[in-house]
Amino acid sequence: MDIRLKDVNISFEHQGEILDVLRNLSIEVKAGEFVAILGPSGCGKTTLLKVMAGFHEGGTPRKEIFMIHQDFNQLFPWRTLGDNLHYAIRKAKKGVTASEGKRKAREALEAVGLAEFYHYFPHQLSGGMKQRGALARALAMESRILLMDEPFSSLDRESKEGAYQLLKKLWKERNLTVVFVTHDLEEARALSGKIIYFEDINGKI
Amino acid sequence: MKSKTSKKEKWIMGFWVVFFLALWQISATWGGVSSLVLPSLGEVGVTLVDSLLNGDLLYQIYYSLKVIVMGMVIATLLALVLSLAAQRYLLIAGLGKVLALVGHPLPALALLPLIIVWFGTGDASIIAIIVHSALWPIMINLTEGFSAVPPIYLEIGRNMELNSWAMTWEIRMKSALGYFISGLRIAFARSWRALIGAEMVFGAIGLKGGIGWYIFKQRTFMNTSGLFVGILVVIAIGFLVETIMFRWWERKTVRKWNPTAQ
Repeated sequence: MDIRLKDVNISFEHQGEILDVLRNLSIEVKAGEFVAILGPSGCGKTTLLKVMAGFHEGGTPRKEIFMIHQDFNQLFPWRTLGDNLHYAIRKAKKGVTASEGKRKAREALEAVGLAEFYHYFPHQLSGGMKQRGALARALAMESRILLMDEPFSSLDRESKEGAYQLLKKLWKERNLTVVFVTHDLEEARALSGKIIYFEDINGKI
Repeated sequence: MKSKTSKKEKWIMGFWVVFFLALWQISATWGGVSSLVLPSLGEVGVTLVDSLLNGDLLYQIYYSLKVIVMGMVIATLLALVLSLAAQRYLLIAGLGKVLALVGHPLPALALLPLIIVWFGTGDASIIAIIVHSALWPIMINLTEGFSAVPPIYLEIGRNMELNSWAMTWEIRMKSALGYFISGLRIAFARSWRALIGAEMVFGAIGLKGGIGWYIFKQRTFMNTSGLFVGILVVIAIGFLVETIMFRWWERKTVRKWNPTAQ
């Protein structure tokens, strides 16, 4: 599934002034591509991802296009890690039996190296583990497109390297489409051969 | 460190309970105080056992608990409907605020004469009093809890294509559970006090039921140890529900999910 945006305009009203965030933006990401979007803070990268995910006016978010946020606290704290995945699987696919759902959740956790933390609550996990857990949830739901909003920006150097390797491996193995937003050139280079640079705060490429 | 302090505090609290019980017993036995004014612990104990064995006290406890549960269930349902609707409709949000502003500071007993005029002196009146006492704290807390749901959970719910029922149950309710339990705890405390008071007033005008009425009846017969039994039962049930039951619920849910939450 490709992502195609044409002439997207997004503006917000702030203290009586209209601020353009994205102006006449067109972008295409082909199925199976890994694209890094690089740009300074506040240039509209997150807004772009939200438009792609369907969170903006006129859009409808779909489970096939799943967003991994920058915030570490995106797993539901009232469920264990495994149960977060199990719940997502049950909601994504009607008619999945409990044992099948649990098996799939365990498989997705194995893919990100967290199988032994199935029964841990999110507050018992480190930031990097939580982000890997969020990635596992998207895998468990069989989302084909991952929209990643600086998910590793607050991790230490070593955890970041591990997360890059893991993400690249999963992208290749599962033929995913990944749009990865970052403000770090090194990170963009480490992850992707295709980098789109956001020039200014008006989302100009 | 914290658990050591709280353990120490529990011992100190235990000491004071024993101290006051001992003081009570000494005053009643050797203080020259008439048992009509202050019966001994033994007399209170005997009355307690008698009342339990003849079934009277158990029935009154059952009656009070039955009406408070009924009232709190109605109040909770109303609060849920109002606070959920307030999230969606500005008109209902305004209505909820006005109702809470008027209803919350108004003690249930101040409404009692009006409630008697409207509902008579039966169970309906007692339940109306409990609903009034419980509704506002539950609604205020739930509204605050729903407003405090982290937007990221709602976004993830939308991304997972959850329907509105799942968004409400899985995300809004569970995220606001801490607020809900606090609201219920305050609601119970207010309702319990109002209920006992109302049962006493209603006891004076003919309704026969509840621990409030039990206490009132003991005074009529100048059975002071019976009065103490009633008071102790009121304290015990209030303590069990407010401190043990709600704390247990919190420990099993919100504190388990986020131990740093206050």
